[in-house]
Amino acid sequence: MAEVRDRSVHLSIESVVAGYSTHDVILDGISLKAPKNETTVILGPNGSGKSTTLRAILGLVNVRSGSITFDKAEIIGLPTYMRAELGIAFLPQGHSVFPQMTVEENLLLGGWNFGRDRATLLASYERTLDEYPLLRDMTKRKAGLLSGGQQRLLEVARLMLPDPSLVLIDEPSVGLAPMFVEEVYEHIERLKAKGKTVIVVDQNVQAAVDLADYVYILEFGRVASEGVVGDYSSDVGAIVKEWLRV
Amino acid sequence: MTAFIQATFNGLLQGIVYAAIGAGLSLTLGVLGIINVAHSALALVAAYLGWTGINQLGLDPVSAFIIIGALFFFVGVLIERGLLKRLYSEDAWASLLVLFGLMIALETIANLVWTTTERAIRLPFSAAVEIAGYRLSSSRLLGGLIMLVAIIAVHAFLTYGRLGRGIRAMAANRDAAEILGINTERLSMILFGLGTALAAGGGIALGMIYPLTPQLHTQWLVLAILIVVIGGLGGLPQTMLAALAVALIETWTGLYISFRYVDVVLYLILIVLLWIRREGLAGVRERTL
Repeated sequence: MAEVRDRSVHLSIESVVAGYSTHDVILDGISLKAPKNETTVILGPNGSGKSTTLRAILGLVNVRSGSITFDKAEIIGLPTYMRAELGIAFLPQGHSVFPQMTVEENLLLGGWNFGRDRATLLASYERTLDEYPLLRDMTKRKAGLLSGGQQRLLEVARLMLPDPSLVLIDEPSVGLAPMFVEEVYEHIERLKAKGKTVIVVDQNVQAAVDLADYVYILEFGRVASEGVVGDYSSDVGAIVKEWLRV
Repeated sequence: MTAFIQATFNGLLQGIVYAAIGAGLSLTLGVLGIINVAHSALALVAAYLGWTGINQLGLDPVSAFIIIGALFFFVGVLIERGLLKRLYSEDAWASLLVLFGLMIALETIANLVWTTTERAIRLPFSAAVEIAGYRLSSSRLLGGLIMLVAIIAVHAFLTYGRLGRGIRAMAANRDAAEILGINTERLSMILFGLGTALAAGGGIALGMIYPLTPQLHTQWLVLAILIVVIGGLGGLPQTMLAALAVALIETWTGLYISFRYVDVVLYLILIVLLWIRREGLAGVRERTL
């Protein structure tokens, strides 16, 4: 790929310490960078702080010290909903559709930040249905009645509706039937193709590394190892497995 | 037969008023996860203000509903901002304790300002109207109609409005809603305001039916909880049906057995329901959301 990438930093985490209660430390001085339009993958054993890193970016966990900048502006202290306004979207682990609401209502909620601008909301809604045409036939169905794979599709479409610039993805394949897993990674590929900055946290090492431009391996709430994946042409999975044994 | 139809109509009107009281409780429990034990004490203070406005100041009843309802929307907003906002992340009993304190404070205020003398809101027109040969209580008719309009308005707001859609999303999954950019703090405030305004309207309407005393709110609270247990937290239509059922059971028990057994019958039903479902209010929450 001879394409010239803009390696400017989109999101930067500097020495962040964070935990859920006052005495636990889950992130212990973690630092990492996600360059624009690249896919950054975060790997690591259970409890290494992968998901908490994403929750810190979203403001869902208390950050005690350090700095998180997005488009060069500090975002620590901003409430979660304002981070969505800035263009940060999140695909959480497990299900996050609103089951009692229709597919249409779920999608429209994705465009919450358009406020009273109904014209933009409806235009984005139509564009999203064009991009995810499977959803067009089920707009009036309750989201809770969709299959697991369809719900994931709805979540991806919903987060893409407001055209975010940074997409955070937490364990995309957990809880999904194997037949849908491949589909989910295809969706993530498409995000990359659309020029989004993507950060993926995953246990599925091989699948995640196939997507990655850059990989961070966490251990005990810090970065234990990092590297550019493109440099390794052969068995990336084996290399990562070796990193994991560090 | 005339007596039955008349009583049933009056019962239905009273049921609508009950629905207003029950709706506030079910909304705050369903969306915010808070059991607002001060809910009916707020309704009672609103009813007393209605008495002062209508009986003492000569306010017309419709204006009294609108002014006091609007005032209590802001009272609700202030309570949510000042007392509850910081407690969402704590155990449920933290907010329960705070609201219990508020309930005692409100009862004390009612005692000091309006004393223990019974206060009955007197309407500036005749006590009964005759429609198609049936006599209907004009206070029930007025209170019932105003509350019906209020409940339908809140229901429409929640079902068709943008903010309502946000509130329903927040009820289902607060974090997921916040991640989409929904300011859940602001919506919680609006919701608590709406619930309190509904309680205020319901309080005034009940004050037109029964004379007010400062301890009366405890009976209203039990009534509201009964409605929530029967109707669940699925939405205002269910709350309305549950409230109508409770009011009709009351009315028919009073008509065919004796008004002295009304409470006995209602609470036997509550016990049986809780026994069949083997769940408390928490179970009600899980079932519907």
